[in-house]
Amino acid sequence: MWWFSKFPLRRDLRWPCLLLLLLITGSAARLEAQDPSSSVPSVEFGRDIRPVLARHCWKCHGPDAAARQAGLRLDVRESATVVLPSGGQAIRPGAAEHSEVLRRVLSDDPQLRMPPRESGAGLTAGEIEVLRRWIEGGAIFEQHWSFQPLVRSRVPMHAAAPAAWSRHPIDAFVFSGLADRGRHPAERADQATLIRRVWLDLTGMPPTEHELQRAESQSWEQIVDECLQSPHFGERMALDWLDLARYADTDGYFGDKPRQIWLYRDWLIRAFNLNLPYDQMTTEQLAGDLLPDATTEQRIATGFNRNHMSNDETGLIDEEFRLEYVADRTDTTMSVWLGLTAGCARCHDHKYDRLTQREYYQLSAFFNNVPERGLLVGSNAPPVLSVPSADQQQRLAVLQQAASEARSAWQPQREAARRQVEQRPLSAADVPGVPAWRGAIMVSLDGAEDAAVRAVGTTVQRVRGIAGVAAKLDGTQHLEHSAAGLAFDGPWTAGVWLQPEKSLNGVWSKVESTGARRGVEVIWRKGRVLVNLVHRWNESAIEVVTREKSGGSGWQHLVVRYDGSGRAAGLSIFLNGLSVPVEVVRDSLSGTIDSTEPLRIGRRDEGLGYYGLLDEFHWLPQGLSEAEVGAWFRSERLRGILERPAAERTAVENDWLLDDWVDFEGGSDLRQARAATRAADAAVAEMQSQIPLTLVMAERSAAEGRRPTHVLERGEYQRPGEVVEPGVPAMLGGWAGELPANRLGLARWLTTGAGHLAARVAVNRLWQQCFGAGLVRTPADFGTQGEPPELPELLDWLASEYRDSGWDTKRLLKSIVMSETYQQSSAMLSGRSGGDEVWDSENRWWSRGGRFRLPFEMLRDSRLRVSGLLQPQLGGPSVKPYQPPGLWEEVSYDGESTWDTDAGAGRYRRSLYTFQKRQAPPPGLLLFDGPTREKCTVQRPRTNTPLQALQLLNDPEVLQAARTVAETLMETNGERERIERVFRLVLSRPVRSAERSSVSGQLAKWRISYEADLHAVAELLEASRKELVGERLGVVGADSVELAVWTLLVQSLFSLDEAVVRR
Amino acid sequence: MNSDDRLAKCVKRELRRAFLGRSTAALGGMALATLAGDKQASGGRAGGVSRAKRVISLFMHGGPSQLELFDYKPGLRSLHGSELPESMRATQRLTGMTSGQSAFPIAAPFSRFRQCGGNGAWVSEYLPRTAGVVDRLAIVRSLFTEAINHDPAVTLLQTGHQQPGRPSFGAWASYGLGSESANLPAFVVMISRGSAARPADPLYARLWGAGFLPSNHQGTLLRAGVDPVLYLSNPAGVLRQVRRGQLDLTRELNEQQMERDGDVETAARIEQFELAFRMQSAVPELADLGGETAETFSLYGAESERPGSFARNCLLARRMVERGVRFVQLYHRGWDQHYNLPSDLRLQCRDVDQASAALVLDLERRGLLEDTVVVWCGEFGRTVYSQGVLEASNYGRDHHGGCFSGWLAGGGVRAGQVWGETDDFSVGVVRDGVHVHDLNATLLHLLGVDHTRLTWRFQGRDYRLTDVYGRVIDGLVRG
Repeated sequence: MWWFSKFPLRRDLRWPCLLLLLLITGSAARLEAQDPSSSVPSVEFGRDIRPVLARHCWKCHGPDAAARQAGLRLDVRESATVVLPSGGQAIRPGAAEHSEVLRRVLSDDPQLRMPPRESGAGLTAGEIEVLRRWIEGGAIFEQHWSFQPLVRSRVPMHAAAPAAWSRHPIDAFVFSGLADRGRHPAERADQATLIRRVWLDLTGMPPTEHELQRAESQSWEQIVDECLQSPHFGERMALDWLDLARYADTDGYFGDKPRQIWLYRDWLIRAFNLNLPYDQMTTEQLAGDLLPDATTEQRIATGFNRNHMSNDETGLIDEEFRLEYVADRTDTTMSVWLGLTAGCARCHDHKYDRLTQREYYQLSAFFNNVPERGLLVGSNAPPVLSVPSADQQQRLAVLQQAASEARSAWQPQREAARRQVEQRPLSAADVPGVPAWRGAIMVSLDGAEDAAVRAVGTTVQRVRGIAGVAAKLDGTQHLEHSAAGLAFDGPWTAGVWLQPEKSLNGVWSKVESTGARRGVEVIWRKGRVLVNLVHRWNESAIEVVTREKSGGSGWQHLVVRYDGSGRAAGLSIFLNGLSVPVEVVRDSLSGTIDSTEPLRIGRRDEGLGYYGLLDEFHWLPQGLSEAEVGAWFRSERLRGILERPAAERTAVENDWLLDDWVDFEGGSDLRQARAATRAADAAVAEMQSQIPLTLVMAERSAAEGRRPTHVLERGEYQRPGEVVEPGVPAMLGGWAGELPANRLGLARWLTTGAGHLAARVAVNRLWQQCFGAGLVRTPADFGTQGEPPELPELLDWLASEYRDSGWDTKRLLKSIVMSETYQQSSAMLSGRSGGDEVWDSENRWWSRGGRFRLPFEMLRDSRLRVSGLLQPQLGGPSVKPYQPPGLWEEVSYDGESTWDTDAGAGRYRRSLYTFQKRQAPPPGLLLFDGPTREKCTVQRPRTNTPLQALQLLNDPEVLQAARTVAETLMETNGERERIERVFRLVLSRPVRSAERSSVSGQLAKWRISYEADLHAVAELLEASRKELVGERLGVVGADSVELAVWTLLVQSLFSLDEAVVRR
Repeated sequence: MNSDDRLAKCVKRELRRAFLGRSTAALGGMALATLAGDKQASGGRAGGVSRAKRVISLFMHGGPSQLELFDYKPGLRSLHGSELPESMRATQRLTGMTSGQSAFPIAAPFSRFRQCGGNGAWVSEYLPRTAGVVDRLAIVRSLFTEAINHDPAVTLLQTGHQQPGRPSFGAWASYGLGSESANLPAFVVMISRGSAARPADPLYARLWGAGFLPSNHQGTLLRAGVDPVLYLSNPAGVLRQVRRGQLDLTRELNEQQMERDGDVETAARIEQFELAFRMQSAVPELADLGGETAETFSLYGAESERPGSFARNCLLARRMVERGVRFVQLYHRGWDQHYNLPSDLRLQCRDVDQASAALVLDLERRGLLEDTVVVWCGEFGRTVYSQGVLEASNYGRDHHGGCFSGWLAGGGVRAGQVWGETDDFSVGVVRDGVHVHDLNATLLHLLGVDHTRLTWRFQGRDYRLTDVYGRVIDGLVRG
């Protein structure tokens, strides 16, 4: 029944074939397989009865008190066997015919039949039969297998076991399991396959040519040890753990802003490389901050439970999301360490496992004392830790010293300059004025405009302006100029001073509010300027937006210049006298933009108003040079200040005067001293920005006190009930009194009090790493709804071994990969059992080596490694290798996030260093079943889709790796030798003769095609190096047709089943 | 071999095919047979209608104002500027953006409404083309949701849960019904940007993700540009005959490999490469509008000439359902009118009105409307009171989950009606409420799927699109 377990519809057994099949091969059949010698197979509660009761009965008659029907509880023997008021018994041990349960499941009467029709399918005949036999046998309830104490299993000695399968306990368990079923293990895989296999499993990459050669002369144990000692071991181990830890480089919700927590990722790699015992890893990740004299490293480790998402959406309800973070930590911690789906109990008692809602909140209380908020403001939600390296600390001190010296040198000069400025006889009259441009209009916004200007809406307030007074607007008023005679189709320039208060403002416009929306509009949006010149909206228009957000607060001078060309390139935007880069959103203008609308200052058409200050609007029918715009900016600013009596000038204005004086009047020494100070301050700021932060756990201060934890009715934040203390579920055994009632206590309890379960869950993952599937096929669910293991004794032996060795991870992995079981061939040969079907095709009895499609990261890393492109250094900030452009813009807030591909080594780092944006994860990762990292992921699916094929065939990154391998091959002379070498490079094995002739045949055909089309050769070689950076560029020298065809050959080999499947 | 053995063998083979993901259609067929076949178990309802085979979802991302578009409240005109009665606020959860407001002035809808169609439905002047096809629509004014912020609200509507992690509707459809096309994905997503000045709110991969379903059910993003599907085009300089040769070589070596190792998954991989090769012509054929007539372009509006526009995406959506794509998800961004409602809302309507109506008409004249459901809605509605100061011509509305409007058309929908009613202030539903779970349950029902039976076991629990909620709204379904 292996395939049923994965099949989603197994409880919808209405399809006749399925039903039939269930009867043929249902649990009764499995019982026979279990014990072929006995004619009456034994019934085991955990294996045979619990799943039936859980599936059909416990939803209404189980642990959830709130959902319990008729007061009947069938998950506890005392309740199930109690004599009911009616005199009957739900279960009468030893007397199935007097047990109400059996009568109900057999009943035809819809009133009596259980389970009720609307709650799903009834019991199968096979299920009813085992239930009957179990009751007859005394209805013994046993504790769920995974909650039972861990006892080191006795290693079986099977009489038929050959010597090779008798030495290692793993092999003894597996052999015995197979032999009991009349089967035997597969033969050992060939050495080349094994070398590649163990390299992939333990380092995440295949060996290089050189490593392969060395391994061929080493013993298996030497090869294994080399992998375990490799620094890439830690990276391989971290890869899976990062899925569990839901690690990402962004916050995930809403704006999905970047965060810094990569130090946690690096801690993880180090911890695995140092072989930190699992119990210690547990303690440091969950409660490193609470350890006595916690080190920086230990505090970084607590980032584990800060990897949850954080929400920055304005308007969210703070407590609702804060509690979401607490729940995420609780659920993740339970999933990772105990393989339990605690989340169900957030709203009600667990339906299947004995976890009450109250216990859930007791668990969550451990994680509910972080000094944090639900609404994220800014980036990097506190608590955070700043972690300068020794080098950074030293460099920062040096820079700070330099800055302080520069300031000391500059201050007296500045003071002297300030005195000179104060005594300067300069007046507004000395400053060159804004020219009186021909045909220009001027709206001073001081309330004394000419007849062409009228105020619309509420009264305009006047406040101190850039020159004289300015208009203060709040969206309810604007100024209109008749704009008679102004032509917008030719060249023009318009400028205005502004100091906006809100994020979205209509600055000025001359545009129709309906219809074609013909005209011009200038909008200020969150520090960016949008300018639209429209003939017909959306169809015929120029739309541009400034690329960078304006950093300044205070007055800004915004000038828009258009040359009348009808092209976006003819539209320029200047801020404070300087041209700023723009992004062209639309460039399709064909037709006039002139309209009969008035010119509106402080409004977009009839809608969007302006909020804040506006002053000194000019429009002139000509284009200005950048120098002229610069002079305009300066003169208007300077004159405005100088027109005021010195005593009335503000500090900002005085600083501006001083800077202007230094720029235009002060000597070069003075300018240098100022520049030196600014540069030194900038260097300090830059250094400070480089010091990494990392999100960490912390407890609220004693002054704040512990945050009370409430049971939340239906899990809702606004329905707090009873206050609970931190605690652990009773079903997992007690809480040792000496443990502190905080995260540190919880962490210790996980590997002691709950160590029996934690060890089973952990070794199951390690087994999965080496076989592609766990001994327990539901690694995320060790509860009653999960699947029990076929070889529980093996699981328990491994778990005891792990725990008793002091949670030594490398030792356990070594033990697994040293076994004969691990080294079996993974071929799925039919006929070993005589039929045409593969016996045990899901490998539940470990009758073969593991065989599974590699995750995206390993596929990519393998290509980088065999091509020699890989930059092998460990750790550091996340990197951005090549990805197709535009993916972030498509989904990010207003399209404002952009993936900027790294220019150097960042392109060739291992994939676990790739920047993980939750909103738009790396595309290849998504295609190959990678998670978004929004939640803890215990197991990735493994699908096989055409989109994966397209990535392998067409991703420029794959092509460039192929080309790089091809360049290496050019060093080898002779086609035969090259083929030999490329198979070793890409597939880590010698080529077979049939393969050689297939390859040769294709190469010959491709050569003919390309020799006839040298243009295509050039294109291909260009495409294959386009994304390459660094010294690889330009290393050609070889015959270009040869390079082209070998590039494509390597690319084909990269996409072979053998290259993407670990076998 | 007796007949039972033969049956068992046939089932085994089918299951293996499904398990390998080699033939999603086989899985889909089975899922459908199992899900809809048992009328008794699902209350005698599912399976009966099943007119629809496909869905096109026109998602107005940001939350369009129901007050200006469909939920006609003429009585508010005389209350403009007056304070919203306390009784109308007491039951509503307010977002942090307006909960601190000292006043909640009623903002009367600024748009005019017209009665149109055989049933005299009131539709906004900003949606004239939609008004023109109103007899083909079921306008729903009584949608509601608990969520009051974009991220949770969109996630709830499209995945059935406010928190991330669940499969999206399209993924469920792909899993439950499979694909009708051999060369195109079952679930396709397209995004267009709105004309509003207001910044567009973010989208997330999760909204078309497969959640815990196998990843082959995730939506494929179709983008405007040279590579409509990621990695679709051959790298420059790869000659077609050489690409064929590469595939032949890969197949040959893979077959030799399969001979040695006997893994049927290898055969599946060979097939995926062939399918990819076919996709390389099928997708450009889909995106090539050369064969569309000028009349069609004018039906969808001039915007449909522009790649990446909503109108273009509507036209592409029609081409997709013609070619058997199961679920087409369009997003039009920019409906979040916290301020600047009057001018931005007009622009947004203008982006979508003609093309939405054209899609319905175009499907109808091609005989596709009968088995395609079109659904038009956002993630929530907007408040009757003004966010911030109420001004004469410029103000905004905050998020509002208590009621919002949308429409359904096509396969099995009882068209020509207005469903549900809200109170005089458009604050809450007073009749025939349709929770987002009910909407999803009804859409699945139209596809012939019982929403309580389309499940996937994950971490010990059977999950479904509608979580543990949802009921089919019979009144929206043609009898």
